[in-house]
Amino acid sequence: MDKHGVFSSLVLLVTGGIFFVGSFSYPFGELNRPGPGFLPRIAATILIFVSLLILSDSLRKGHEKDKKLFAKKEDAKLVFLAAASLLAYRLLFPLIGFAPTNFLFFLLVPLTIGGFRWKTSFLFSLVTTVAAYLLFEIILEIQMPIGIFKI
Amino acid sequence: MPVSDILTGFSVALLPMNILYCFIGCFIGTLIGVLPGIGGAATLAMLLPVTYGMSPESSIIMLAGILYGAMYGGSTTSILVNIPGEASSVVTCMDGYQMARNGRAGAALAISAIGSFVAGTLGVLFLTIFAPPLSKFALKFGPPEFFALILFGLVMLCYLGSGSFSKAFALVMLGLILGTIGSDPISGIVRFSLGIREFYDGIGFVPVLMGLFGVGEILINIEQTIKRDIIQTKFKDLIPTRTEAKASAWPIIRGSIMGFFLGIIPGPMGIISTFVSYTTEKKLSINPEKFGRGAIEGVAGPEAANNAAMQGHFITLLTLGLPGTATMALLLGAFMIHGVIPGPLLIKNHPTVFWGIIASMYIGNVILIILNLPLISIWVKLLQIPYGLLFPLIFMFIFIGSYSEKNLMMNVNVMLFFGVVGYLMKKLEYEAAPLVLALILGPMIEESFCQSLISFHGDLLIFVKRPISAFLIFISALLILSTVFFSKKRKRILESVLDKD
Repeated sequence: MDKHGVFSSLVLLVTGGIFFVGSFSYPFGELNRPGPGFLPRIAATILIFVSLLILSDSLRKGHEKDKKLFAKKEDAKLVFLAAASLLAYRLLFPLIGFAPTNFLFFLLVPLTIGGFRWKTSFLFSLVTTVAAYLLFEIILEIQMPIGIFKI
Repeated sequence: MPVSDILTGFSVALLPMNILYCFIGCFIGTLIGVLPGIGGAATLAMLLPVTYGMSPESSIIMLAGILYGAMYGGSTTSILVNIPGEASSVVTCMDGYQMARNGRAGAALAISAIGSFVAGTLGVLFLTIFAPPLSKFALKFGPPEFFALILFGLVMLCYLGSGSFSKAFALVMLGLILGTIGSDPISGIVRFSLGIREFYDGIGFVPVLMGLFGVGEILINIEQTIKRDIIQTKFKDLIPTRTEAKASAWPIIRGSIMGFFLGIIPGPMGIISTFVSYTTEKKLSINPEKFGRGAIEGVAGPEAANNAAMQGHFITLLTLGLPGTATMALLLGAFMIHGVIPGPLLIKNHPTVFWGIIASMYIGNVILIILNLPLISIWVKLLQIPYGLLFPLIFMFIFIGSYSEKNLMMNVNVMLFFGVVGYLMKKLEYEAAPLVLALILGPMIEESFCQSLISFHGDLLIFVKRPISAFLIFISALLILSTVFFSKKRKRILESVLDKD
């Protein structure tokens, strides 16, 4: 059994199912005047059918296809750390504003994920934060959220 | 193709501002081509918001420069580090890196740049010649033909993709469904918006693309700690010998022709054309045993092919409005943001955009050869930047690009969600291109399908009654059926093409 194939086909199957059921909320119409539910229902039906094909194919596959999601434990740690840093950026951005978020992000990411020293990370953070501020806020005049620091 | 049209194009492309944008595009293109792990699609997605304030001509000139510039830059990394900077530079690694190890890195880089220049220029010439008649032909297209053409493009993409046909086809369906979120093109009824106001106009392809190609790639690259042994070269070494130059001439011409015509077909033809060119050169060579050990023909042909294929991709986008790849889909998005619809009417309605872009490509090719040869040492230095410093920068650009499209945090949420989806898709061996293309083309396919049925009183057979749509539907059906009945054979053929040599 190909576990990855089974998992992905089930996700597709459920997604197809949700949209198939959801398409009944809109009129299907007729052939000479298709309604808003027409394409979603047809596409969802095909998606369900193809997902079942992938599922049956994955169930029939041998053990050699059964790969691990991460080759090493350290890889998983790095990916989770990176994903967490991206999420932190998203949460801090509207809260403390563009420049302070950048400063923290550019300081902590090279330090924790990149394995750089404090001095290098600090310098990198300072230069990139100032450059990003000048580019996006001054030159391109993009309206950024003003955080608690009002920067 | 009157000369006045070309002159109009040059009058647009030679405006100081447009030369500057062309230079910026080529520069960024070379940069992302050189740096492994940043693709053209992610870069285009990142820079789309920067172009909002520009004229349509300037923005497309810059974005197109990024695309063909990346083709040039990709070869540098392949030759000096044995890592393809771009997917279509994989083949260049085979003989390019071997040449570098044999002390001929300079010659390999020079031939690759010259090959790219010749192919790029020939490709633009073919584009100049073939685009107007193709546009005229496409004027005969009605909604049934457009429906059949988009369907054909999507099926072809699934068929030629490196992974499983059924997985790619499932993603096409998912993309079509996601494309239905928001207003229905005929009735205006809002669908699947979950009551979220930001989804009334659809989920928007910019954050989806940035997530799939930007965030997804970042997470994948974090995992892959690649050791980079860079072979050093100097500008004075960049002169190929007379024998090398002679041996490269025909492979460059053959690669250019093959690349351009294969590039017209929707799908990952940039990569496929390089394999076809490599295999052809090996077959035609009197010393095939040299291939894989540093044959200059193995660098010249494929490099020419991938650059010409890029021009081939442009012809279908500009004349038919059909993007053959994910990056071309992004360019289509850029056109649409500026209110310009690529397709048969582009030449008539926006001659300055059409001819301006084509003329800028001639200029861009000259800029690229100057950027790539004398500045080689700078690009090599860039390769030494650790990914730990690069990825926060890439993320910030993607984040701001996504946010600034509508100044909405919802865009960022969508981007992050699709970033995780993109990462998992890569892990589970699903290609992102079919999903993206279907998402972008979804509203068009729905509109043309509904319009066909409304115009022809619900006659479903209209798609097979009209010759052009019948032909395209027949080919699409044939491709689908062939994967059902000959799936193992297709897999073997694809593997033999991709794994050969």
